[in-house]
Amino acid sequence: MRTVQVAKLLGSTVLAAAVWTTPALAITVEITTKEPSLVGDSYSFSATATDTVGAVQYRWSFGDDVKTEFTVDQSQVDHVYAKPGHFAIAVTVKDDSGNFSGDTTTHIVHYPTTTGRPTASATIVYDKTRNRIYNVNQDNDSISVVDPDKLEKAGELAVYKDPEALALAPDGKLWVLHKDDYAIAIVDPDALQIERGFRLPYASQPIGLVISPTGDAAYVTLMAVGKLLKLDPKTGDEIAQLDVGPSPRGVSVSADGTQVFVTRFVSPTTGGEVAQVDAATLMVKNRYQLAPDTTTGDTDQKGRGLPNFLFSVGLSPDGREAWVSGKKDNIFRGVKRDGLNLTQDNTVRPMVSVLNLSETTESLTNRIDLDDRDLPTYVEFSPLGDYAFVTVTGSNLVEVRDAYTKGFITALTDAGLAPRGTVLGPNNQLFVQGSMERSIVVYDVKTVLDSSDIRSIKTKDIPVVAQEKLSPDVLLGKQVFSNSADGRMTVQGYLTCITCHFDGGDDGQVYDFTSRNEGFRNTISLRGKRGAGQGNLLWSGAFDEVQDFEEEIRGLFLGHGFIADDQLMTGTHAQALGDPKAGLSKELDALAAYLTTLDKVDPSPFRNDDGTMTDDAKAGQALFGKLGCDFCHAGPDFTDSARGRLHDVGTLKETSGTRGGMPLTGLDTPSLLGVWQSAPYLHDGSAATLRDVLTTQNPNDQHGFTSSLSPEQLDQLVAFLQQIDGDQRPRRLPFEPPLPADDGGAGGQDDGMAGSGGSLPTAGTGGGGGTDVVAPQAPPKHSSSCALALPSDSESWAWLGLLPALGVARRRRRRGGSR
Amino acid sequence: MSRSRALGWLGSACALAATLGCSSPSEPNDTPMTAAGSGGASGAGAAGGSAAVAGTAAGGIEPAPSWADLPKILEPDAELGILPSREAQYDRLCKTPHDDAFFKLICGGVRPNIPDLASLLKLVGLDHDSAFALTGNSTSLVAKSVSALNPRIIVFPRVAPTLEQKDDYIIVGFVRGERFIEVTSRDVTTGEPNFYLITFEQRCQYDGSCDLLGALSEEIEHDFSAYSIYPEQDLENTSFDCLTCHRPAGFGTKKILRMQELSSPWLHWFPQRFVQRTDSDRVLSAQFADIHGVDKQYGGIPTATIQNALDEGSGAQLEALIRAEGFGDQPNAFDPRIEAEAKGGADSPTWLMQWMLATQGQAITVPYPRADVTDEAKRTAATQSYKDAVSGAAARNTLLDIRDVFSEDARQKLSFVPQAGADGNAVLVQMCSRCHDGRANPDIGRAKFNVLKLSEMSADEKQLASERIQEPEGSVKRMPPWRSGTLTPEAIQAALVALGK
Repeated sequence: MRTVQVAKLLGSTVLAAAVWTTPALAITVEITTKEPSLVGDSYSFSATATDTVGAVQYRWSFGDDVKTEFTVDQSQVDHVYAKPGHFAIAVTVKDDSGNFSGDTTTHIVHYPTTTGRPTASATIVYDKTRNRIYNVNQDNDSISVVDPDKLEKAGELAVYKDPEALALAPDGKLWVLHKDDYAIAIVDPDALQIERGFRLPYASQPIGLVISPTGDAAYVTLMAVGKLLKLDPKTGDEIAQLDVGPSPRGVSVSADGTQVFVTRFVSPTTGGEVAQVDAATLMVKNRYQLAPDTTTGDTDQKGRGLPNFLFSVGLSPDGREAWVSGKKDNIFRGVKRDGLNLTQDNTVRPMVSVLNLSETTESLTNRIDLDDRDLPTYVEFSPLGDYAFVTVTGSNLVEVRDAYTKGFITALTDAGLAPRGTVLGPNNQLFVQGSMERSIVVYDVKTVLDSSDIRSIKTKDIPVVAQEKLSPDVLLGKQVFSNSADGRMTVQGYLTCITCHFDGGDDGQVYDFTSRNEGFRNTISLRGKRGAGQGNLLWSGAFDEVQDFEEEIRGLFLGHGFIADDQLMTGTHAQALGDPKAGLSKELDALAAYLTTLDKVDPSPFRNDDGTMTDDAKAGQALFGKLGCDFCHAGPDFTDSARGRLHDVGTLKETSGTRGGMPLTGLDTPSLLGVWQSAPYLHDGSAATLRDVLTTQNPNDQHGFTSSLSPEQLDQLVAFLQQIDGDQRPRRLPFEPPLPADDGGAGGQDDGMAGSGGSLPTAGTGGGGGTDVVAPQAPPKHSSSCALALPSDSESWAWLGLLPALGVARRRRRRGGSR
Repeated sequence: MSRSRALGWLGSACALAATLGCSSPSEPNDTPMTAAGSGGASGAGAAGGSAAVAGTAAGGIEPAPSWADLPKILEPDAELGILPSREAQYDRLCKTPHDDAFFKLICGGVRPNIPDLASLLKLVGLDHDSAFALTGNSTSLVAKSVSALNPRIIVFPRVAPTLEQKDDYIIVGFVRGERFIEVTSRDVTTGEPNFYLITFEQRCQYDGSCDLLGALSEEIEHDFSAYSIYPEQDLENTSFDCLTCHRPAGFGTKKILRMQELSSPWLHWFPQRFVQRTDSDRVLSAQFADIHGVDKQYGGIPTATIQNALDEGSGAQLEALIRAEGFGDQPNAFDPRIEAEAKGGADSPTWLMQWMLATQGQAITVPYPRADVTDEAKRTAATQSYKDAVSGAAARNTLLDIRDVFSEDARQKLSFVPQAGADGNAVLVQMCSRCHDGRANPDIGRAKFNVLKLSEMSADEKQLASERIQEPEGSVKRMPPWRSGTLTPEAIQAALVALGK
């Protein structure tokens, strides 16, 4: 609640220092020592008094409940702090004339920082050597360069599909990690060209990339296959790999390079998890369990929840803590669970979990509940480790937290839509990647860092994408999808679409939506659904257009809504299956337009490396037809949802609830596209695995006559299900050799890649070790993956933005370039 | 998806299907393609996925022999017997063109030879890329014959899971006990189904040697000596009138394919393991297997294929065809909730609502609310009797009528008999409205009597109706026709009172 925030602000030590008022007296005094000190060290505070008469007495207050009495000539005093913090130092002086004066300052006491700084997978990095900021543009398949002095974009480079992270290698090269192309591009930052690239395992969804502060290894999380790769940062060759557990995402390395921390993005109901891996052996050393919170009372400022969507690990510079950004899903609440309705305050709450690295446990008392926020994704610490900058993606801001008290200090608002990461650059500037704004937002945070003032100044909003790939309505829709700071979406900023459907996926949880006239509902991934392109929406099929979510926006999120009240009340617009809502709201139409673009699922890593199905899966495909699975899971979408029919496959229970308040006679057939990554299964998540769907959750064969299958056939059927992904084929990347059967193009989704998997260089095969300087090649005309219209000159089309700042034009001339 | 489309329970179909690249012999759970007892129709195989193409593309339709010298049937059906038959009916049929695949197949060239049921399936292309469904309860013309012991089989072309309408279709329906086969095929011009009745002859009909075993066992599926084909128009004023059910909105309106139990759980359809296994499969397939395990085929399909069917046959696939043809909205469709409501012997309120509609003449009879329509004792006795007779363990003439197995509850709920204690009006509406409700062609005699407007009927009409319901058993004039139901003496008296007003 906002009123409470104000209270917190007033309670902040920093603010208290800022509002101190010095009486206008003849004498003056100033605390002259401003430097931070270390916990346990003796620190000498000094004050200089002027215009005094006679003996001068000093009285000191150190902000930790230790005070001195007026003592003559005690202009310098030593003090030892037992704990870190931001302490309000006050000195009061009086002279023989009875004049008083005083001064205050905030003194930073911190733990010793480690030699070097820990590193973390990031979407934005600072290249100190070249004094540049680099960031990824996920939707636009490019990276941008920003001059942190001029605060302007210095260039943009087209890279592969879906760049998700970047990191600076010891040799000064910039590694760019691509999720959709499961590849790493190694960029020469000086030329701003892709120097070379290499593949990671097929369809593995690499998502996190970090290079050890010691420079001896790069680490990549492969979300689809549950692996952590350790790569040679010089060659890209695989050094080792670890089955780290499902959906690894965030990855960070301790300052000494010995410890690697990996988050599990989607949590099981038993709790969140962060794995601590020994870098040398690449073995799991510890698994931090982020326990479900079942005891905190649900209020408007806090609540229960299961830690989930663990995006990243921010390691404090003192090496003592790791901050894990995520959310808490209140899967303990609901009419059928504890009798309470879900509310906008207590469905999902944002969370930062604090791991105590010395005790190797989560510090539960320090778990931070961010009030009125949505989806923290990244944590950046101040150099001393005394402040944490928490990127809150859904709220379009960066929260500054006291790293020691965990308390709220301030919020850097207007941080661009859906900020995804921050980096501290030169001159005490914080650079924020506003992913949906296509900009880098710059804040001057000097006064925050030195604790002199909580105010930060937004100095620049730098556009970083030259040619937007998304159409205006799709981009708007994606912004609406991500924006919980819009009062039309939600009243207090907790909920928007990404809260549960980050990147259009799902959070793997089952909510009790009984109070929303549904029932237990397993979050559905939106990928491949094309909005309402497959048919009705929700497990019950109670919505027939994306715009029907106006009902949830108003009913659960308590947003004002995007449709004017009078329009909504006209005809049967207010009913989910009533008059169409399309055309009544630009934003909802845009949201529908964006969701329509989610027309593909992620390729299945269970397939062969060339994207073809395994023999087992082919046998399973025959069984799929033989059993008639394809009569409901029909057609290319693997659903008959478009027919508007519901099916009872024996899974309905008392907790299944209703269909928008009407009797639930069956369920809308879920698409099987991408089903390999949408566990748990069934409308109520009652099947943990696909095998469970076919066996333990199908006791009467109502969901296919699966009891007739032998164990081998069951394996085959499961194999097929795991490989239903729309039959995508790897697109050719520029560094990959053409195939004999290829048409000479750069390759697309359907460029005849079958059988070519073995020839692709992958991490660990040495394929990435070449020195070829490869600029991205123009995509084929039929490719849907690179929609930019670019000049044929491979070098020139690699550039989308400004060049002169990097002197590239000059180099081109030297090399005889045509431009 | 590129799964095999081939079913092929006939030996030759295997080769054909394989040639077409439709079949994977190694496909798991594929039923071995065994002959279904067809000795004839060689060379008349279908060659394509389209029914229309099936008989002609091969170009090898075997002509039927002349029937001119065949003896007369000693005891013809009272209603059909007055219609032309054999070549005369064939010529008559073919003179009135119908734009459907079946008509074109029959009348497109030679008069095809149909020596047995399996040959008919082969002739019309239903020996491949097809499926079948058996029902253990019917509300059709043959309702009183149908249980899991003597099920009605429908053989039809397969429809893709995407429910795309096929270019054309021919569907065959058959139940043992009477020598006729029902056929329907889409008229390309009108888009509506055309209905046909094929009556076939067997030599026992010429010398009076037909017996119950010959009618109820596999024997009835073999050794056809002649046939006659009647289009729906010829049957309009008979109790065989297809359109009383298939033109639900009445004369001049669209015809439809009917499948009252259209959706899961397909309470009376079996085998039903495709898409999902249902209780109907557990109950009815077991009853069927028990009695017909001694048979090689049923309805032209090998019994082994029926018993082991996955995708070869199911109500789900018939539903797909019906939906693909655009008949997903069935009048008075059997509500899927009925099964759950009626479990454990409880009355199903949903079923009662539907039944009330039927008894009030607003819809055809609603199927039985439970899977099993039989009386256990009757069923057990009939099953044993059949097995003994077929296997030779007992004399032929010891066979019990395996159609007479209905429980009393089923007889009432299926309107074989009127509701106990019903007044005359209710009796007449329940038992007669199916054919006499004003929906029939006004030019035919049957249309003159509308049981829903009894007060508007002339005294003569009422008198005629009174006389007809009192005709002796076996009389062709007796109403209701024996296939439809039976009036108890009390019901007759009540009806007479109503008709006398």
